[in-house]
Amino acid sequence: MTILSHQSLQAVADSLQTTRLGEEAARALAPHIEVRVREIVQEALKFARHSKRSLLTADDITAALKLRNVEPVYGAGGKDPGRFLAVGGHPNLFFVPDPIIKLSEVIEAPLPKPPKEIGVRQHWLAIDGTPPTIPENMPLQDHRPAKRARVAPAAAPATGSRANGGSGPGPSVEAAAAHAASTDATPDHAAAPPVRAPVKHQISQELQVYFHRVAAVLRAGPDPTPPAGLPHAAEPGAGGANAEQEAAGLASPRLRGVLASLASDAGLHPVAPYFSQLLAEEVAGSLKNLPKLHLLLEAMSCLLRNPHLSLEPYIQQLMPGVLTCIVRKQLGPQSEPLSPPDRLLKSPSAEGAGWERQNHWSLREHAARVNAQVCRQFPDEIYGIQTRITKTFLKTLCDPAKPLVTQYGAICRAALLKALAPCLYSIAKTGMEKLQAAGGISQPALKQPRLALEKQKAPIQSVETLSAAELMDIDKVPKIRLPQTKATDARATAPGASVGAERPNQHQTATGQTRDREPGPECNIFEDAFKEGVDLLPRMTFFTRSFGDAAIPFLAAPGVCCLSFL
Amino acid sequence: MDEDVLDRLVLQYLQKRGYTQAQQALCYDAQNLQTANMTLAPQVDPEKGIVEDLLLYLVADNNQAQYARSFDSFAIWVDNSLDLYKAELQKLLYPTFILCYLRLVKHGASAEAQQMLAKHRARFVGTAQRPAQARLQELQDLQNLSLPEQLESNQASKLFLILSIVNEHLSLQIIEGQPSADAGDETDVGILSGQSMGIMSSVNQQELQLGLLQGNAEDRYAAIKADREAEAVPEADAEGKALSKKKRLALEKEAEKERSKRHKAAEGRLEPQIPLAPRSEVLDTAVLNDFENRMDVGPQALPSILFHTFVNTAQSLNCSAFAPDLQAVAGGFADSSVRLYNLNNATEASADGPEARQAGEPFACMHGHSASVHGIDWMPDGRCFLTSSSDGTLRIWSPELRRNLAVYRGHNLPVWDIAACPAGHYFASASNDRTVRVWCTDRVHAVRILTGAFSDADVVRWHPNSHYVAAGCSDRTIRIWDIRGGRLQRILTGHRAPITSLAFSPDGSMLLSGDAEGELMLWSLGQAKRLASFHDHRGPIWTLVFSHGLSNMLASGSADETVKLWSLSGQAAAGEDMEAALPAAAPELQRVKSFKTRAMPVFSLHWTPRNVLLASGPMDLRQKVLPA
Repeated sequence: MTILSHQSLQAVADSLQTTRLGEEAARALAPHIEVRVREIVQEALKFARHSKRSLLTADDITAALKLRNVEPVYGAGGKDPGRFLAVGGHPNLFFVPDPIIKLSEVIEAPLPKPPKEIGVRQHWLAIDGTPPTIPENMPLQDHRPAKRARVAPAAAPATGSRANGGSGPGPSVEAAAAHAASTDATPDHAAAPPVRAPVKHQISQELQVYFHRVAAVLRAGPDPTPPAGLPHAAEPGAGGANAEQEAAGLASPRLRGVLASLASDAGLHPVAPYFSQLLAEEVAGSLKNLPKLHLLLEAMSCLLRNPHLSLEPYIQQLMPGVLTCIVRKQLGPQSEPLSPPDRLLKSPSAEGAGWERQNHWSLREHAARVNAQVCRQFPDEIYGIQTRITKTFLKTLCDPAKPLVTQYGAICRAALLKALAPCLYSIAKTGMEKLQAAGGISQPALKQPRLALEKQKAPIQSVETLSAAELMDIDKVPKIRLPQTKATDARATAPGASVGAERPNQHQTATGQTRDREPGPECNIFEDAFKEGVDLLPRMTFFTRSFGDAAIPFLAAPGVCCLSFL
Repeated sequence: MDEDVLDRLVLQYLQKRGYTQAQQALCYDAQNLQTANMTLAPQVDPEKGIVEDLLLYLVADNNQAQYARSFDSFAIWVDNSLDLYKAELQKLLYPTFILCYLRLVKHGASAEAQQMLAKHRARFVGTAQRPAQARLQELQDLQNLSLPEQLESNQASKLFLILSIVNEHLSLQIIEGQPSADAGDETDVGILSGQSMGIMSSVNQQELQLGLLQGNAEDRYAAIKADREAEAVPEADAEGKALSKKKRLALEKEAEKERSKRHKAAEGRLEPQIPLAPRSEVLDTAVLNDFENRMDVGPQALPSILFHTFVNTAQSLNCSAFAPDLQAVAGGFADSSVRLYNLNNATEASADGPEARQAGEPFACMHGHSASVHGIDWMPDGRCFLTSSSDGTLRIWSPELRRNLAVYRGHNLPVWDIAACPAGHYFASASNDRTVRVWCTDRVHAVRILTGAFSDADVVRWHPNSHYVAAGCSDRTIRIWDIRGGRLQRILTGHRAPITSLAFSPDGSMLLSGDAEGELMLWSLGQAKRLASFHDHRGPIWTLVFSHGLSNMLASGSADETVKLWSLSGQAAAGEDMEAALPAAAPELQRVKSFKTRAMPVFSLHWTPRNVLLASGPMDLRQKVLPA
């Protein structure tokens, strides 16, 4: 019932040499004492209010005690509030430590610094109703940059030594201190110049050196002679990144070091805008240099992977470069043939890294992976990146005038984002058809011959087995299965004839389904797809290597059945 | 409880008091009705309370739970009542609850009382946002009361007990007509202030003379200006053509009309009814000459604000005030010192560089008080300033001599605020001893002791005509006294937190008040009613000031580190009868703009005669002071 426990009271009584206070008496006394304590605190709050403070100090309590003609508690005032320690074994009992101090030490201690004299500084809070932009006033428009700026230098000193390995951690600390001074600007210097862009103050010497070195490496691109067969020791930090880098042919230890640093260092936040700018510029400037593009994409991917870094503000700057790498018609040297990816016909392991690096198809796939990474990292609901990109690809795929290579890139990207662009699969198929028509991918070259054969021989049967398998996972399997099977049936029996009859039905179910599950931009895209008049009943076509598992549902039933992955 | 025993006891009581009719009625009822039919009496009978007390003494022995049970059923009844009446009925719940609680405590059933509190706490605290905080505090206060003896000494319970004595529980007035529209708005306003409505309404019906004094500076300036204009009635129009006779006549007529209007206004001015100090001629002419340079501020023409930051205070600055001649700013500190800072030098410092850097330092650091200084104000002539301290004394200081001129003793407890009379010579102080005192500069004892507040008087201000003093109190009321007779003239209730600032409108018809929770209220003094309330500030409003001249601009400064500007349009009616005569535009308070400082709470504001706003406050780097 009361805050004061009887144990506390007994302890207090003990300290006052009143040893005969029984538990019963303490219990009876507790509510009375609590009321008195509360009254004193109330009175003390008045003192705090009239001192225009929100913080209650020990001095206020002393004043309130004096007001009630109670002897104040001596030694509790001043700037050093007593620290209460819990008494072991008694959960509600506290005491103030009272160490014994040698008087001689106190006497011999040097005098403390005298406090600074209180002064008055003037500044204009408003001139004719408009606050002037001087350091003494709050920044007017956006408070966000200020906050961001305040976070950044805190991280800087931690990374300083690691990021560069060159100079010591000194300068960055200084920078942080300088920055702190600029944010907590006291109005001492009334005539100080207006605030400059905060970014300039933030980057420590050390980070600048780091940035310039990394930029130089990125600008130079990978070494001309790729150490393809070089066995390199696995780095502890890089982990999964290694495979990627190898694939991209970035096996030089120097490059690997740079990329590992980009992927894991904690203090890169201040230079992130510079990196994003650098990458955007470099991609635009070196479209004919495939290895370099690979490197840049890998750097981008590393930055995205960095857990200490949020690239959110810079994504808009980075995305155009990635998209260029995916859909641009001309990538790499002119001589590169516009033929379909021949390597699909061969086993990739048999090929050397040099081949990889010279191939724009693989670059497109790489870019698509980075793009997918971005989309996964920045959820569509918040950033809307996915929707926009998906729309772009949709347009690309639906436009028969677009060159094949462009569509290949778009398909790669679509395949990687299986969960979010189901409709793209259907469209992708048309694109794939084109690919096939143009280059003639032969069935035996496929990576999944088993599936392919099944599809080839008994499509309907395969659909049924697959759906049976997926029915296990109830969540994933929508009711849409039925019409699809029907559709396939129809197709099987009368190819092309019943298309018109089936479509509206399918359309309805499909859109309804989508709405139920995830009302979002996909729905619109989906409808768009129908509106575009894409043929939903193409022949069975098969996808290859890069699509992997994603291709399964899509192999099972064409078009809308991919919804099951929504 | 045995019914018979109860009946017998009541019967004995009635016999003892000689209530034969009641006795008969009781006997009759006891025979006929086993269950008593409860009816709600329109007016509560004081006698009934005594009977209830008697009953309770009997009941309380072993049936305290009855109270809680009956309150529960009452609450359920209210909850299930028609929506139309629910809002009004719900207002009854809280006072009833408090009374039940106190009854239970009084009769030693604190366990039941606590139970009841725990059960219904959410209902009272959870309803609205604003009153809930005040209630939370009240309930917490109540929760502390668990023994009957504490009731005697506790301030909160005293308030409630007074209430219960004055109108024996609740005085319900049954009014025919529509249920009131503003259901949630005025919940428990006025009820918990400890003042009975009857006393309040009789106090508030007294007439006030709110007119300005004769011959005030504004009037004289207007007269001079008008004369000048009259002389300048043009003989010729813009093209240099001589005016036709007709036109000139029209102009003259207009001027005449203007003059008569002014005369009428002057007739409304008051003769001073208290002896006032003679005006100083030199100062007067200076003031009048400066009127020419005054800028009219308004929502379209916003003023400039010059902020004065006290640096290195370590939270020791308690109050500050600007000198009327703008030469200095004075600060009162927790270390009992009073410091003066030269404003003009400080301005030069920023321009001139190192050799003038001394200007930021205090040019006078004066000691005299023996405890922290809480209130500070300048005399209107700027030659002296006054301070009040928690050592209970008031002091008057001369910046010229840099020393203390006189000490005024009288308050025994801390003096929270001090205000100089706009006509000079007098000043008023508000203290923790629940009094407001009026002093003359030439007498050591107070000339008036104004009482009535239930709790500390926190802030005090003078009416522009110097005849009234308003004080904001910790009991959440604003009280206005006539200093001639020393009578309480107005009690304004409605705030839900202690008052922290007050300001009279320049025409004297309205009062603005700010409280510790950041609520701003506008009151009409003549009608003693609230005109508007705003809850814009997020911390205590430390200061409120009106601009000079025709445009009524208001500035408020708060602990939430903002200065807000408001514009007040229209004029309050002087009284009920005047309302019909003067169809003036209803007063309207609008927020114009808010200025955020950088970690500087605003302690004081001051409009210069030319309508530049000066603000001051300490640099408050809380992250260094507050524990993490």
